[in-house]
Amino acid sequence: MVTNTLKAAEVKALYEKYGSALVAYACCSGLDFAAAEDVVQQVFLKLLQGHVPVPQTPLAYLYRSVRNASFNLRRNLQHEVEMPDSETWLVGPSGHPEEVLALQSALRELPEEQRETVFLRIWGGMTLQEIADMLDIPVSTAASRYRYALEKLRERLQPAAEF
Amino acid sequence: MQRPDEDLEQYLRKFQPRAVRRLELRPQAGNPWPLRLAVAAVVVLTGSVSLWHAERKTTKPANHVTVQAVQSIGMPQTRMSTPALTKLALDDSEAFDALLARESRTVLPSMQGEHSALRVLSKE
Repeated sequence: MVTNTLKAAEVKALYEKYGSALVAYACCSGLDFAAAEDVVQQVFLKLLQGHVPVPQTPLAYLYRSVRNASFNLRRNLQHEVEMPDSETWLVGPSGHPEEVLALQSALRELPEEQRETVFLRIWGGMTLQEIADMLDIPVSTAASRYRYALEKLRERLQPAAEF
Repeated sequence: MQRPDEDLEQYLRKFQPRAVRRLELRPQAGNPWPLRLAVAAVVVLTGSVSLWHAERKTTKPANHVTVQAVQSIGMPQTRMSTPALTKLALDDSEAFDALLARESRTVLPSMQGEHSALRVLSKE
């Protein structure tokens, strides 16, 4: 795998592009918003220090780094795996927080591996192949996790949401 | 089955991650040891110079100024022996007188003081 170190401007550009999704991903894995921001900032500060080799396509690397850092923080601080239920880390189209909280609640009820897969596909913009590579699982497993996740989300959101 | 999935995906994509704060560029917490070593070196150097200076002052001979004064008027640094003085007196009486005059300033008691011993004796 070809790696290189990034210049400060490149790191900032990556943060501008993926920072909010990465923070939401950390929230999705069980951190509150402030802790998730700290985790993502730490990942990018390491990149700024220039000692970390980054792959040519850094998206999976960034998600993996945030995933590991979130896991370590939860373990060190003995955070509960449950996501905070009153804090929003998504912004809805209507601007009503109830809609956002309903979706977050539906996501929270998913098994962690399904929740992770649906997040990476929808908000991370990754393909099923990229998700499989990142999580080190077969593509078929990623696909089935995604399908099950969508089924459960539909069941939970259907009565209120229109799609 | 495909169509409902796409509709649900579209619905989910309408939600966007919340905005986050700007990337904070905190000062890099590098290795502090080079700075600490530099400070320690400066402290040791300053202390050594101060000690050397103080020791130099205390070990300076008490008659340092006198020796310098004698040197400034052309006196030899070591006192001349009696045979040498005798030879000088015989060979060059003027030089001998000048030497005695200069020597007397440091060897003989001062008569400048108002209550000097010689002045008191001369009055008696």
